[in-house]
Amino acid sequence: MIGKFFVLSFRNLRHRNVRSWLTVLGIIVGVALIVSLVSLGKGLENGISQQLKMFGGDLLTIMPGEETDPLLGILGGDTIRDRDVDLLNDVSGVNLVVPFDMVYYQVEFKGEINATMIHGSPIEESKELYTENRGLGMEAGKWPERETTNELVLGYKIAKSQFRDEVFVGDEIRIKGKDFKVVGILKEIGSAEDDNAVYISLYNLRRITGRQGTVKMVLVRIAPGYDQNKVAEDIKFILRQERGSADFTVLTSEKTQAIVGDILGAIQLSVLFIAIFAILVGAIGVMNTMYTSVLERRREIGIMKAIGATDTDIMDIFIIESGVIGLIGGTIGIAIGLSLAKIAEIAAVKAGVKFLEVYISVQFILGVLAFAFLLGIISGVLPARQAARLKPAEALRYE
Amino acid sequence: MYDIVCGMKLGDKPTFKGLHKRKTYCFCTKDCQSEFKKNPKKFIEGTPVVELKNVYKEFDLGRVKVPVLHDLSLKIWEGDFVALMGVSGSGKSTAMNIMGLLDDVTKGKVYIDGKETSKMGSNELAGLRNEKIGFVFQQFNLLGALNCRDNISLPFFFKKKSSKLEQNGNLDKLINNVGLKDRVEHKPLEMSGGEQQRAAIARALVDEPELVIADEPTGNLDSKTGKMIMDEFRKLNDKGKTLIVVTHDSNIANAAKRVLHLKDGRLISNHNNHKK
Ligand SMILES: Nc1ncnc2c1ncn2[C@@H]1O[C@H](COP(=O)(O)OP(=O)(O)O)[C@@H](O)[C@H]1O
Ligand SMILES: [Mg+2]
Ligand SMILES: [Zn+2]
Repeated sequence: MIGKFFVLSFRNLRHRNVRSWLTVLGIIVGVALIVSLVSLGKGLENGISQQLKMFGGDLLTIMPGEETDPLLGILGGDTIRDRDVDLLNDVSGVNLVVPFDMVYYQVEFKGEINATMIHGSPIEESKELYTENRGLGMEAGKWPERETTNELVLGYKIAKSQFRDEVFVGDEIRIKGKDFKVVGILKEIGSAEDDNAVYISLYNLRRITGRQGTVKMVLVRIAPGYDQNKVAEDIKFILRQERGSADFTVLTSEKTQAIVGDILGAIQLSVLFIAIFAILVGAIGVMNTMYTSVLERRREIGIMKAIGATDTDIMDIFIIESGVIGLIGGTIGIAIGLSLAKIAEIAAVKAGVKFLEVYISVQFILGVLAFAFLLGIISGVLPARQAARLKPAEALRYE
Repeated sequence: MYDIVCGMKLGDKPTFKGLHKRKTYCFCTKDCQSEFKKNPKKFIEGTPVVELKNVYKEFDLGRVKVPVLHDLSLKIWEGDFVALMGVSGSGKSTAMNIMGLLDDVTKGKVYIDGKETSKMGSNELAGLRNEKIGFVFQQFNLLGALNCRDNISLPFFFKKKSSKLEQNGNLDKLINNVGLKDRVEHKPLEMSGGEQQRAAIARALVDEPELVIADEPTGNLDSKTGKMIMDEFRKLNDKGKTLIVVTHDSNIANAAKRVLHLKDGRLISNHNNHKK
């Protein structure tokens, strides 16, 4: 019975004009947004937590700026002073302190100039942090011998593909009129940022920037057996005393993850909001189409009733029809959404971000289809009821 | 006092009378009188396929009420072939819609096979229309989205239980009979008016209803095609099908056995066609 109605619905839909199909656009856009959002969001979340895991649970990040808004601090140009860094070494439970400063600057190789991020941190400590904590070995070469030598390490990508020619260990790179010898090339990290960066000693970075006595960020490693939250509290206490105010942030790995999660959540929420809005508009569009359709097909309704269709039959026919509209909108939306996500993934891979993978489950797809079908049905209920209530003789009077 | 044959309401002093088993019956005309004499039992004990009793119909247009039918009483018997005539606006379609259970009455009673319909719900009425009545309209009224075959089999579509007729090849026989064998895949717009109306007739007949109601079935056809359609009806009635056909073409009305005249919503005459 219902199967027969489906056939009739499809026939009726094939008969429809283009204008009435345009109203499905809302559902398509909404579903596409949701699908791309969810499929990328899941991958993004997986990727970021993987990245964070690389830092290990025993690292603390200390950044300038109020705790409520650490990103603002960095953007605002606040700094951590060397004096603060020195104090960190004395906190019990801390067994490695790595201050970082960075600058976006031009680097020159064989006369070709590229602007990129230059990370500066003490060589000995960096070497330990990268190799032991991040498990990141060298693709080629080694870390510089000393803090003061004109040597540097390149990220994987900047060495391989940023310049016309590939950069090898032993080549020279020129930064702000000084020649640096490339002594090492890091293994691939998986984020464009890190793989395109140049790594030099803090001493050398300060020679480039002219900034003395401050850094942008400090990584602190906690000795085995110590509670990271407790050490974080101690650090906060000491720094607050030294600096006189709480204008800095101590992030534990848990907290970092939470913040990343918040940011992701905010992005997802806003896209979700847009998606819901689009779907709402789509549902209203479908409802409108169905109302128009009921008006245009009053005569048909009269014919079917004359032949013996009950009110419920007419209602079913119209509801199924709008459900099928929803289903078609949903199918197109899923196709577009997945394509968008795939395009984003490919673009991300091209840009060196490996963890933005499309992740989607069959259940999710089926769920979205069911949702779209249901949405169509719900949008069709009122128009269908209007159709069902038409009196046959009256319905037949319309041209 | 009512004519027991045609159901018409009669005046105070009817001229045509008949006696059966010591009871007196009155008739509108000699036609009804002789009809009765042929088989009194049929009319005294039987039930008509359709009966209207004192039916009034007015359309409520909000500010004004348009009265259309005034105290209409009539009977249609099994095997009848009735032409309903009258000028445009005399209420023919309204009367047909009421007999076909497409519209309700303002006052009065409608019986189908002796069953009073005013208390039936819309589902029951739909079931009766599906089961007992076949419609043919002036505008053919095929569904544009469906091809000829699907249009013809549409009545099966709305059956609550599957019908034997649907399976036993009745459809193909019927399509053959109305000469649409080569048209089954065509959509209504790809068919001529005559073909469409023949498809509509096939649709009205496909589940073998007791009664076929046709409202100006030839009104949109040229006279030659119209005559062909009327011949179809003629043949149907010869096979025993009960037919009511609205027309204002007296040539077409000639095909019927009995002619009813409607004027301003009142039945003004009933006579039989004696030619044949
Ligand atoms: N649904 C309706 N609403 C208002 N007036 C109607 C309606 N149906 C019919 N009428 C009016 O009733 C009268 C009889 O109409 P109809 O039964 O269609 O006549 P016929 O079929 O004999 O031409 C006409 O005056 C017509 O305008
Ligand atoms: Mg009419
Ligand atoms: Zn009579």
